[in-house]
Amino acid sequence: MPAARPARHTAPAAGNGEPPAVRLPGSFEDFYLQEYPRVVKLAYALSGSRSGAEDIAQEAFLRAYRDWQRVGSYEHQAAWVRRVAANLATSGLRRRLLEARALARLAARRQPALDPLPAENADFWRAVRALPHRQAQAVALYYLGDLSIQQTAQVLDCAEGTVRAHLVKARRTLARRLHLDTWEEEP
Amino acid sequence: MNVDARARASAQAIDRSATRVNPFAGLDDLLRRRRRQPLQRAAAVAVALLVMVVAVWAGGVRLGPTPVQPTPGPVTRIAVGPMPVSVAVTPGTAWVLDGSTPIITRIDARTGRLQSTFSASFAQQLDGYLVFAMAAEGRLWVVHWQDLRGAAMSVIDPSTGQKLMTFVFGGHVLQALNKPGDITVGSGAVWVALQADDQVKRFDAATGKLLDQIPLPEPTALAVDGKTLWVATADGRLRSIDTGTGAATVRATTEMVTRIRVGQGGVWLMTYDGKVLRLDPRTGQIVARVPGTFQAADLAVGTEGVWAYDQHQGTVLRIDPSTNQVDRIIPVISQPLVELDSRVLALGDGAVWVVDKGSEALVRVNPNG
Repeated sequence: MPAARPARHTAPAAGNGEPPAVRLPGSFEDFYLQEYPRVVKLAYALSGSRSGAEDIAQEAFLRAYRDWQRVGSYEHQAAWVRRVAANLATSGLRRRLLEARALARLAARRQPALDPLPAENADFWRAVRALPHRQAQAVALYYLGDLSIQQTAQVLDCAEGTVRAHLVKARRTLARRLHLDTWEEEP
Repeated sequence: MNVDARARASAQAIDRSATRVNPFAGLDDLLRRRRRQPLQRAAAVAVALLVMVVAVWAGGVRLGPTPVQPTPGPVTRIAVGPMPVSVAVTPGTAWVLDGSTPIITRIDARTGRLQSTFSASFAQQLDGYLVFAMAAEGRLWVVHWQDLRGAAMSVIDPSTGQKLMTFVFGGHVLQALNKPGDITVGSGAVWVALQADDQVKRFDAATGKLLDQIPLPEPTALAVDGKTLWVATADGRLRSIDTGTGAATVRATTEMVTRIRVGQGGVWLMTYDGKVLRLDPRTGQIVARVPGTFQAADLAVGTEGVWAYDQHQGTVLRIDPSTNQVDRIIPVISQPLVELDSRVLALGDGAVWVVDKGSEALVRVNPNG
């Protein structure tokens, strides 16, 4: 699933009829240090792999780094990298590539930085991963990333109504599969 | 507890699990990776070639004693590599697929000695991803990526190692995440559950011709038993389909099922959360839920019995069909790799076989040892 191009942040128009200037990229390092833990957690939730989650996050940041001149000028850089990570974590073929790296980490005896989840929480995320993947991404972004509906829609590059629909369907399915009470209130 | 509260609690659990994530270490790693990528690609190709040469030499020339690391008890470890992903067993032979190169390793099932390796030239696309293998109707069936549009399956004559035919599914199947679907072979047909495409396809096993497409919402698992095809869908329904007439009947509703296996007097189901259930094929009733704290990741049923693989504990479990209880737990893997979809268990030649991905080994378990 190719990541769609997010909107660019632009400076206010100069008023002279010229197109607005494109924002200059900021520091990749600052961006990385701020966002990396969040993206690792998102990848962990959506992949279920303690060792693979950091590889997924790094792959997403590596893509941003390679094209930082362009990505760095986006208004929503964090949304871009989260979308890439979410797509990597829910794409079977691409995830296999990253699993190969995770295996190499295991072979090198590097312990994953993520701790195992308690059984009840692991069950929840396992059920999330069994959802249709756009629903799974919406749940992970909304709850884990603590994003608003609007921000989740930005990451998923879809309408806010679509995110609401994904969340409602996902909650119903999760409630049924995990024997929980439903929660129908609109977010 | 409602689903919203559980979601928030589970999100907090992920936050707590990530306290040791160090972005500074990750940045160093990232920059190193950025610098060494061209070199890595060249090195990976060189290593793969070297492994192939050594493996062929070891199997073809050095016909010495069994190249295994014996451990006490009924478990034997056979070194394979570099990235084993699946095993299938035909009489006298275990076949191990490699996930990083299109290499299939042939192992003598009785001695554990490596017999030969060969490159699966049919799977050269997309870096030659081999996904999964199974043995059925006297042949070896190997699922691999065809192209970005989907997967395919090649049929191999186990006596010659030659490819006989390739089926192109026209859709994704056996993805590690998302919608894995399933494949089964039996009664002269290949059945493919394309979960993302909401259909089951039937191919002629002899000619590869597409015979039928059955619309079903998100089929997750299937198995064929004579004239009955069992199909589970993501909504938890289990249907039996008469393969002659196509008539479908909903027989049971349960949690989402990801494996169906037939044998030992029952239809055995593995749910998405690792429980094992038994269904009576005559009544369609769930007659047992195998008790225990295990979380099965794969399930196999054959003359060797009913076996499950618990990837969290790295154990195989034998289920006694007369009591529907686990009667044996055998540790096989000390550092198991936990995956969402794991197809690493096979039965055959009087043994239980498990792929140890983390240690690049094939584990042979003697069920009577």
